[in-house]
Amino acid sequence: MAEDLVAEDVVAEDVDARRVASGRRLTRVNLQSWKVSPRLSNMESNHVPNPADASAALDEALRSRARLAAGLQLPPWFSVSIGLAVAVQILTAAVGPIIHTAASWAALAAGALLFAAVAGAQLARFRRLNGVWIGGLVNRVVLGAAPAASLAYGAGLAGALWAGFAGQWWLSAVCSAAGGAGYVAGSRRWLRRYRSDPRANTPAESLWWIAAMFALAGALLVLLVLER
Amino acid sequence: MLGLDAQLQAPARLKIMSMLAAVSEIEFSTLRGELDVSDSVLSKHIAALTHVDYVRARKGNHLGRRTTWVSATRSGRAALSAHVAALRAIIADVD
Repeated sequence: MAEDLVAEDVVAEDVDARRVASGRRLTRVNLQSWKVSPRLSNMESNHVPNPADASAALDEALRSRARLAAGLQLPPWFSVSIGLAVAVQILTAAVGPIIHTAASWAALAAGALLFAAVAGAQLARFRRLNGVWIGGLVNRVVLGAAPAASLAYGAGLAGALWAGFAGQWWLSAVCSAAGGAGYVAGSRRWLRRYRSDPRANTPAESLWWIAAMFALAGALLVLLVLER
Repeated sequence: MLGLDAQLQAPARLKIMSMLAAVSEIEFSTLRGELDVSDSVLSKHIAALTHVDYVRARKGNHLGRRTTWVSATRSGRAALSAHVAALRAIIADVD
């Protein structure tokens, strides 16, 4: 790399000498070799800014980021539809293994499909509305990887299953609704946290964490089926 | 100065990287609107940042309309962190 740069300087000096010899006034800035020389373009600089400039540049950049984050909106009915889909999914997930008929398993599958459809549609609306995609929103809010959402979902499902096994289906419905409401609360909480610190709340959870959650849910379902 | 990145010295580029750090991906037109610059100016900045692997751009399609989605790479996020830390160090010297 260093050898290349030296070679370019030699070429530049050679061109310089030839042009001077031909009587043309020339400055080094006008050399044809500027594109390949180590000189930076006018948008790049090694100049160390003074504290006032550094502060102004940083403030402006952070203001732009905060403006972007504050301007993001959830589509209408985003939280309500996600909450309802989660509540239905929890209830059908309880119905499937407890009633243990073909219809109840079909209901379980329908609940999961409904959630997937609602989540997909709402994420597409969010992207269309805001022109951005945020990994954190996808799996912390919609897929429930945020601790509050995971806890709400887990507690709701456990309550619905317990009530279902006890034959108290009305209580299963209440637990499912509470799980959905907890999910919604988690999504609103995430949005508030995102707006106060967008950079920290943008990244998605790791794929390993999500895979582990799905594996755990699958294992619990298999266990319930075997228990029957 | 340790950590100051020549590619991010231009305020517009610092703003672009700062906004990209707040999202996973952003549509070109949204970014242009936020920065209030022309298509060509933004394209040049994105091309320069792509060239040093700070930014990734991909083409998309939305309702038959061609769209471009821009995202920060891992090295771009690291460079932004180092640059911001260097700027803060400069500011802290007088505080």
